[in-house]
Amino acid sequence: MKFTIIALNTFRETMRDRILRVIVGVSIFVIVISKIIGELSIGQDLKILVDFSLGTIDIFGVVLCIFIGASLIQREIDKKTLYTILSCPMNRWEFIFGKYLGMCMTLFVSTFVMGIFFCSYYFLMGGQVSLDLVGCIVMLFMGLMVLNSVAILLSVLTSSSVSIIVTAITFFIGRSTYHLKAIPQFSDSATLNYLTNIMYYILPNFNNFDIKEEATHALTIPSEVYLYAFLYMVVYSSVMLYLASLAINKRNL
Amino acid sequence: MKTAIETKNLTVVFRGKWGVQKRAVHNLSLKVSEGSIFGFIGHNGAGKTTTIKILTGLCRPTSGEAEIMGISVNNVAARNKIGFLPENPYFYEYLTAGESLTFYARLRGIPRKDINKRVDELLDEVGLKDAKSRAVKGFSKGMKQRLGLAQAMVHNPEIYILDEPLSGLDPVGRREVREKIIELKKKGSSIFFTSHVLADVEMLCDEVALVSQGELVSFGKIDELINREVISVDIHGEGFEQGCLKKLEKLCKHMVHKDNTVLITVDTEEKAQQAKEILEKGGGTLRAMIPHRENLEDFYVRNSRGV
Repeated sequence: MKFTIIALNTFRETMRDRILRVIVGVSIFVIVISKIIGELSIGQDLKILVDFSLGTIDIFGVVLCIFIGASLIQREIDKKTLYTILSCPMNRWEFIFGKYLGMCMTLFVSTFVMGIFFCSYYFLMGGQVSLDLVGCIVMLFMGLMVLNSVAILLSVLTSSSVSIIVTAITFFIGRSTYHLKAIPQFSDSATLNYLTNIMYYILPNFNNFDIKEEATHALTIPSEVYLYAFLYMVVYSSVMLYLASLAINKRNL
Repeated sequence: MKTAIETKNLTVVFRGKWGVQKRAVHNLSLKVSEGSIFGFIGHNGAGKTTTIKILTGLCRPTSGEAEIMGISVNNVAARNKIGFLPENPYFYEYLTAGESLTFYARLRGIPRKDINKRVDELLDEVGLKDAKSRAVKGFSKGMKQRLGLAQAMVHNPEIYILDEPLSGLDPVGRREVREKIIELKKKGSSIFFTSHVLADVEMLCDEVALVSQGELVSFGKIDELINREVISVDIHGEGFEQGCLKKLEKLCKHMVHKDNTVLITVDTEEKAQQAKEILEKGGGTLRAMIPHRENLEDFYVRNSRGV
């Protein structure tokens, strides 16, 4: 179980990263001011608080993933810290899985801190914290786990800067997969249709984790939505981590 | 004597940009005996670090085999046998020296209950006891080197693979590391190390291998490789007649004279004797006659093909 040692160390590394504290601090500030912005609307202040806060938790989690997760492996290769670690009796996949788990732990803590703050603040402002609201935050976290696995794969394959950019692009396309699916309706080009179809199935579909709209309007979310998102997260992340393990196994350090 | 490390026809070819191939190691066959200190020398880019990366599982050979205590380096179990100090070791800078060693001790599978004691012992051994709670970020190069040595020793391995263990150390630090290497050998460990400081290699090693352009040039016991016959003699004389100089000039390889002192170098002991007689007949006094024998550096220069 060497990956647990790597995971705990990665967690400690990322928790001591200044970016994390800045991001969590800024997101809490945004959640606080969202109430003030909400007061500009008529009777919609709590809805705007929910909308703004969930968006903030989502975006700042993605920023963490992009700026910390996407350079996690490459930084180890560049700084050569990997040399003393991989010369220990450990498989390379354990290292990859450990790094992934460690980063997920950090994402969990940051999402948890932001989520707890938001729910408490929302409750104090007179809102009702429903299970689906909590479920929405859990779904955002699962989406971050998928993005993290993509970031880890890219971090093995490319330099830190390229992997940061590509992870960000992947996230934005992954959030627009419904538009991607709709492109063939407006184009006769077979190649374009073929390409958009491939992208639709290969790129992660982050819409599976996005129930912010429903949470904002206090709609009931069927349990199948959670189950499907969970299974999608497990399968997609496993494939990404498997590919990352294959890539690092082939790599001469 | 058992074999600690063995490579058989080891070849490593790297594929660079645009598919350009670069041969880093070619057909390297070596045997390191158990309990010995083995020096692996060669110029920069000769393939030393690549070979070490193969032995530590960081690189894969293109062809050939490498074994640690009879276990293939491709098998993770081989890494249980080794302690590795990379050249300019890098650590997580946010960790303290104590936390770093604890991390490596856990990766090496040392039982939790023994870790604290082992970490304290090691920090004491490498002279970092007072730096236990300091972040590695603030460490000097020498301190990082000591910490690197401590992490290589954390599980008392049978084989130490040390890449430039003496680089970055001050004279006292170098002496301490040399003594540590000898101590490890006395405890029965085998040490495979690279160094550009050939005097240290000559002082410490039982056997050496010289590589150049990825190929093995020479390999064997130092005394068997180095020609121990006199290769030159330095003579220092003074108070001679000026007429002697012309006679001495014909004998020697180099000559430096100022006022009535002279320093000459001749290439055989016979010529040294003749020079001594010339000096004495010319009324001079012989101050010193120093014979030089080949050392590892001479051997290296003689055999290394350069970059």
